[in-house]
Amino acid sequence: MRESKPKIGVYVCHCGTNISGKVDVEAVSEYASALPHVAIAKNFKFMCSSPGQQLVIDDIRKNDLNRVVVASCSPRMHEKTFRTACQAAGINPYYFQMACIREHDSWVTEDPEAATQKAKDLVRGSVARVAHHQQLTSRVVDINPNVLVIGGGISGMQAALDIADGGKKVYLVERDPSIGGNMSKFDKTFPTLDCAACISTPKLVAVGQHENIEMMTYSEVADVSGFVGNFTVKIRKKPRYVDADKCTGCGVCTEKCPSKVLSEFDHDLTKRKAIFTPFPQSVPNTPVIDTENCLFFKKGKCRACEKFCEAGAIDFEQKEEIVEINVGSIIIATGFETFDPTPLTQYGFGRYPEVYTSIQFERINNATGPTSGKIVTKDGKKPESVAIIHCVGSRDQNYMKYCSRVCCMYSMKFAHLVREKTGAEVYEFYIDIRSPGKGYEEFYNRLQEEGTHFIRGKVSQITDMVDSPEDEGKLMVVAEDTLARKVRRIPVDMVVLSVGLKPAAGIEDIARMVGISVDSDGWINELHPKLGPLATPSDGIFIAGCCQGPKDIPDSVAQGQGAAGAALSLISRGKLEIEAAVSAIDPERCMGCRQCEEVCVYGAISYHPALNICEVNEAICKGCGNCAATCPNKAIDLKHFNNDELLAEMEGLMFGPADFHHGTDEQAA
Amino acid sequence: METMIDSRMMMTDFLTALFDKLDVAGVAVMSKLPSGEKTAFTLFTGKDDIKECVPFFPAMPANAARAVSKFTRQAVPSKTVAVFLRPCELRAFTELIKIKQASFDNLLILSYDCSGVFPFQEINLSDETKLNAYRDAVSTGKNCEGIRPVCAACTRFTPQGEDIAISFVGRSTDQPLVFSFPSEKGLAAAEQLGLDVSNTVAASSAVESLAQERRSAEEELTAEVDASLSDTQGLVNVFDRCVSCHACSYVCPICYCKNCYFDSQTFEYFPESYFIRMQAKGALRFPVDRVLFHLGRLSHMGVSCVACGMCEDVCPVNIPVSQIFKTAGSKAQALFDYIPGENYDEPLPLLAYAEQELEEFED
Repeated sequence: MRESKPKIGVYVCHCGTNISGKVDVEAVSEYASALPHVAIAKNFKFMCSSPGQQLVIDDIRKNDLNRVVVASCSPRMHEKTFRTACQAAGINPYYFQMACIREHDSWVTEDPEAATQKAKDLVRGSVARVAHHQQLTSRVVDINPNVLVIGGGISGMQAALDIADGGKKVYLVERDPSIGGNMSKFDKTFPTLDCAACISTPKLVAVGQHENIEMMTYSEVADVSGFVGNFTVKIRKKPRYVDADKCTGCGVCTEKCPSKVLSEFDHDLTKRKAIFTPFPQSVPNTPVIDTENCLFFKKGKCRACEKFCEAGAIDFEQKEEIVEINVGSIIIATGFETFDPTPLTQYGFGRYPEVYTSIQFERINNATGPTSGKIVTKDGKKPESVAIIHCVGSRDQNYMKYCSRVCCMYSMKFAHLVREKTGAEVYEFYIDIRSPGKGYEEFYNRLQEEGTHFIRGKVSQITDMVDSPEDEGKLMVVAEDTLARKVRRIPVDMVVLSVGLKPAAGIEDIARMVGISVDSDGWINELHPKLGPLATPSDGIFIAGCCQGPKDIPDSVAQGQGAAGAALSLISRGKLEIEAAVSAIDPERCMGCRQCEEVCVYGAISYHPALNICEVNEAICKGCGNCAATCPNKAIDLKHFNNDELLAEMEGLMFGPADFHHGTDEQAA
Repeated sequence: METMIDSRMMMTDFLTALFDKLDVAGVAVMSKLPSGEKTAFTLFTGKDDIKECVPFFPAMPANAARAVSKFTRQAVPSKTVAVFLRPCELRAFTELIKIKQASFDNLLILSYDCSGVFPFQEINLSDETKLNAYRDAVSTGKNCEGIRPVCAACTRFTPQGEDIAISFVGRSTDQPLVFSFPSEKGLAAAEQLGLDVSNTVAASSAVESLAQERRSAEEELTAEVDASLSDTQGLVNVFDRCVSCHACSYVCPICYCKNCYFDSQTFEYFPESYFIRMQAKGALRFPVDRVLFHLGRLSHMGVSCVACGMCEDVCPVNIPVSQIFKTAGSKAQALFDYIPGENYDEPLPLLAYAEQELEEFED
């Protein structure tokens, strides 16, 4: 099995005094020199330095070493460094093994003698192991330059635009009839109060017109297979029943449609037709027919839209289509939805008409909303007082434990708009005001100066039982003012519930399809909270915006750009080297029981029915070893961590040639 | 408890009816070997040799689940095949379904409450005295002397998951068969057989008395095994005489591997390994890895062990393998609240994710 007799070089690193301060490195290298197959053993101040690496390279060349052990820090730090050095000297990079005598030894051991003994043990294990190492070569695959962006909100649009501007093809999939996401519902943005539509509509148009962007609205991702650089994605295109090529977007169909239902875009504050575009600036401007409410689909009669459509664009025969696309990377930007406050019955949402959610209030403020931007009650009166209640659903042990990050700021934006438009008194009920961000604290100060009443306390009840007759018709907000230490009962005309953000529905399906996980709140887990915020454990899958957690617009845009940069960087490499330490299934041993398939979290294993065996896709495999541990047939070997190597390392660790005292009589059986 | 009905059929009538009325493609059942003394699990494709069938003969020449797995793995029989499985064999079969090594599609599964079997070497077709004693024990609901210890301590002797159950304990073998039909497939078969379901029969009290005897035998067996294996030295003592023939793994219905890992190259050590071990231990007995083999096998299949006793039947040096595996297996199973062979839908413990488990073993 061994292609050559092992000739091992052992190098013990001082790491300045990090290691040599505790471990007698001289003694360790001397001990190592007497171990089986060891030809050379040395110690050196900094093995990772250029002279240190050169030492290894020169020894390999001069003395025909074919295996190398470096006893130094964790392989996470410098395994790659020394593998590269080995390769430079002409031996297979996997003929290298690292013994971690810093993190696992010198840093955590008090007694220098014990530390030195442990270093010897670790080196002995590594020497025993490296003798059993096998040569491995990595494979190289091409990267498909196309990118899929899932979600057409502000993050997804920004990512798509950046990649398309970089000259690469983007497929932008959006499940709603129009791109734009939540931002297109807003009127003003905090803290600058610039017009949301004025800054987002040009983005919608740019996306719609970009030659490198293929927009797939009213579509959903149905399946993802493949691996980094080579994904195959199935997209389910729902039928619009309107031929986009013929439709001129004139809107006559919508005008003539007799069926009215509550508008999702206006969050039930207005009605829309059964054939509709979500909002006037929709991109594309092609309407869709909602079959659940269309009279023709329900009862077989009507067809008014078809009759009046001069372009002949209505097509009741359209069917759902599955389109297959090939991409090299995927950006997930599925965003958020707002918390439904109905279960919090003390706030009376759904019971009192003048209790609104914050997203409804965004629509009320918006010029294209139900009141054309005027702040009025449902019976058309200008409010004299408005209560805004923070942290509805957020920072709540029963619902969402986390802070939704944007509510304090948008609540203050509302307070400003209410005072500006109506002059009403505004009461903000808050737990803490959180305003970290450029210009955010200044905005808070401005609001206080404008005369907004900030009351620190959680609202316990909203009721229509008022204290005095002149307040009849108003809503009574009851809360403890924790700063003044008294219970306040304030009659108001309108209440805004600042509801928190939660992951958009269906996010788990997307996560499952691409083989990544979500946290206990349902947000996607990034690769690393500090250093990998846009990457995921699945190579080639990036995330941007609120799918990872609540974010404001600037952060979402920044992440969209960041994810686009990451995708472009991947594309620029053109080719990708695939880690060689992956698992392999021996077809001679595999019984096709498919247990490995069930435990593989990356979806790297697939079943081959004709051969009745399982197979590993090396490009997806991360080398975690779950399958190898599960396989009862031991048909699976994790390369570089195979049984031979591990057993050799363990035997080396436990009993070296000079340490007979470890064994006991029982083991003789 | 399903209603039991008197079929008014003897075994040969029933087997004939399987072909004539249910139009089965075959019947898999124990039969006499032409050589005379022993039996084998046989797949009959016609009714000509029905008189050779001895479904209740108290011996287990093989775990039938292993046999049925051979012709249901990967492909489904195109026509219904009726298979006789003892309760432990049916449990093994259910375990094999979970690991995709068998399928119950197009099978009609027949089972019965089992009175246990004799060690395979110790029972022949001509052993009239033993067989008479066995018949008496069956009809009175007692453990027959001489049956395998693991059978005498088996408390799961009534079948689970069968289509047709034949009531055996507490009945006489020269009377017509008593059936119950716990599944849809079974009920449909009853109809096709034209059975008069109004001929109901009461359950026999012998079943409960046998169950009681079995429970106390199981307790005794557990205590005995526990005592003999209380420490590492116990393990060494028990497996000391193992000759590493690995026959126990070849007959085990759960050991489904093509090539046993313990027979692989991994256990062909480099010569220096033997010396290192020898020096470390002071002595090295050959063949090596005997305890390791049994512990390895126990960890591989222990949670699925159905205590069928095959391993012990074939052990050439009389190690009580099955008694040990039954005892250790039950403990491992209890740890995961897992009952092997109960339900083919239940995932194997190793594949079932639980956020919190085995906390008692932490730290």
